[in-house]
Amino acid sequence: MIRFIGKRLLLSIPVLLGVVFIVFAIMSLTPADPGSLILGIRATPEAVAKLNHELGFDKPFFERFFLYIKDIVLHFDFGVSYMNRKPCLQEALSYFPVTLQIAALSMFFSTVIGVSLGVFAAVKQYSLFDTFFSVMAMLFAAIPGFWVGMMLILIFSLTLGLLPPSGVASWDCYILPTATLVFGSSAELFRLTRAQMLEEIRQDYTRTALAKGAPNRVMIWRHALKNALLPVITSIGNSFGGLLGGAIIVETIFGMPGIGTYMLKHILAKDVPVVMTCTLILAAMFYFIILLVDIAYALIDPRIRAQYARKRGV
Amino acid sequence: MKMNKKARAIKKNAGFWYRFTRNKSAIIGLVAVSIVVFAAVFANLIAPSEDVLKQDYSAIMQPPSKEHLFGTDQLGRDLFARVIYGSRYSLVIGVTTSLVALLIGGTLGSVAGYFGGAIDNIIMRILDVVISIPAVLLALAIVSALGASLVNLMLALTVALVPGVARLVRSVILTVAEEDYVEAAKAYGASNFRILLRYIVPNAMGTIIISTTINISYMILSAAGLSFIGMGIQPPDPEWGALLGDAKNYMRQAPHMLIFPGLFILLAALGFSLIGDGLRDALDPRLKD
Repeated sequence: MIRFIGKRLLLSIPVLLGVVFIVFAIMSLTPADPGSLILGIRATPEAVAKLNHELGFDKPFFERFFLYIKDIVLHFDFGVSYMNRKPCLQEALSYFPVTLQIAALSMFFSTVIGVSLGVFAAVKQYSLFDTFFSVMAMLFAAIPGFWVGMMLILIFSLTLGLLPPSGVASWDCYILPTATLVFGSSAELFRLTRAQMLEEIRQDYTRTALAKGAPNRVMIWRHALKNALLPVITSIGNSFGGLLGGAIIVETIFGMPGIGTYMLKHILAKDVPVVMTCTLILAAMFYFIILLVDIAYALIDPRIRAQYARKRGV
Repeated sequence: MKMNKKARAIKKNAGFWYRFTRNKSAIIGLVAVSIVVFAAVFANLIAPSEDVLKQDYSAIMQPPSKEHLFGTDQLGRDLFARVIYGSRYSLVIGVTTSLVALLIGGTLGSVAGYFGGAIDNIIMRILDVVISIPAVLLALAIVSALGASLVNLMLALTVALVPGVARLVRSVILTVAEEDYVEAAKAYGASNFRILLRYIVPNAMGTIIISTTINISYMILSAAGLSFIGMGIQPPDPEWGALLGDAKNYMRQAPHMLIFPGLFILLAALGFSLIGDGLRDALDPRLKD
């Protein structure tokens, strides 16, 4: 098991370097140079050229890339913002908790809701319960999250006056943003869990369990669910990427000071270092969640566990 | 032998159509997509094209009425015309990005899956890196570097979609490549190119068509999301997400601005995903519950 985790951790180095390279390459397509962005349109060409030289912007692409990597690895330095000359990383991290809270809360609730409803729907296939939630899941998978968010504000804040429409002042500010994301992502988990459960319930081993006298309840929760959950777990990890992306959009609707709001403001100003830092933080976050999910998967799935146990023996 | 194969194909297809048209949700999807396609193709017959941009300061943020079926926006523009013309953007973006991503991702995936070995390793490791950046974030980064416009938005969405498509196509190709008829074709000396195009791709097509249909729905939603935050189609162009971006600022005064563009996004996205599900059930009855 430790071998497996070690291998995955080692593998994360080239992947993360690759991510930095891709993001760096994309951002270097920005048609503006930092000198003219920082100094503004009234600056003399000489001053712009001088600043570009100081920032190392006149160096070739790969040299700039290696310097960027070097600063990150050696000094944990992601550069300074063109807009306010503050270090990007510290500033971006100060916005990070809000985004992470929204994404994590949504991941938790959509898992609980999606998986449990999925199991019940599969067990009671074709019942009213199953039909109702299957139709709802279909709908919510196709509704744009930001539209749901605005409708929720319209209903619960502007019409009923129950919940705050924006801000992060108290805990109830998080209810609507989380709900916005939960609708979409629990719908997906519901559909996957239901489909997986339906498949497992029909397998021979569940029939055997029933024939051996195990009660239906034990068959469902102990036997079928355990197997059905494996693909669901992978999907939960992947959905976290969607939730991070969704959180960026949701923050702008609810006026929350998260990394999405921060990033958008700096995108409009072509503040490349900030956009790059935010993208990298979110991508790294996503990568480590996937990694954790993979490890959890290996811990749960005896087949993968056995594979590594055998290798150690050889 | 040839006749037999053809006859089998016809029978299989007949079953497919029978199953597809018997599927209620697939038909709903087909109707929903037809409405959107109809609106896009005949937009100029449904609403005069000058209404899309014509401002009328005497009728700002009017609720739905006989003259303005969907009401008017903050500049007095007719929302009905804007929503109808908006379907052109969403359809073009959804279909084009999904097909281009299929072309690129499909080529990468089939080459990787069929040849395996070093080629497979190189392609898949690169895609692993791209896929570890959340799609919306990747698209956002590309648009922010290149600037927000229709072409850049489509480019960004395509790039974000390619790795997923390539992975799927690769896994389907790997499954099909193990079939006996591929083995047989190899044994009588068919070229790689012929095997890939003649035997593997046609048999992998079902899964690929299903996922492409569902991707269209996903791309329509993503394009709307990016336009909503101002990173896609720019005002005054009437893309649905951009319309909702406008509506956000006038939620209190004009809730109707919020409702209609959202319903049309739902119609288009739901339509394509229902068709995708219907195709899956019809092509592979075993997968049906």
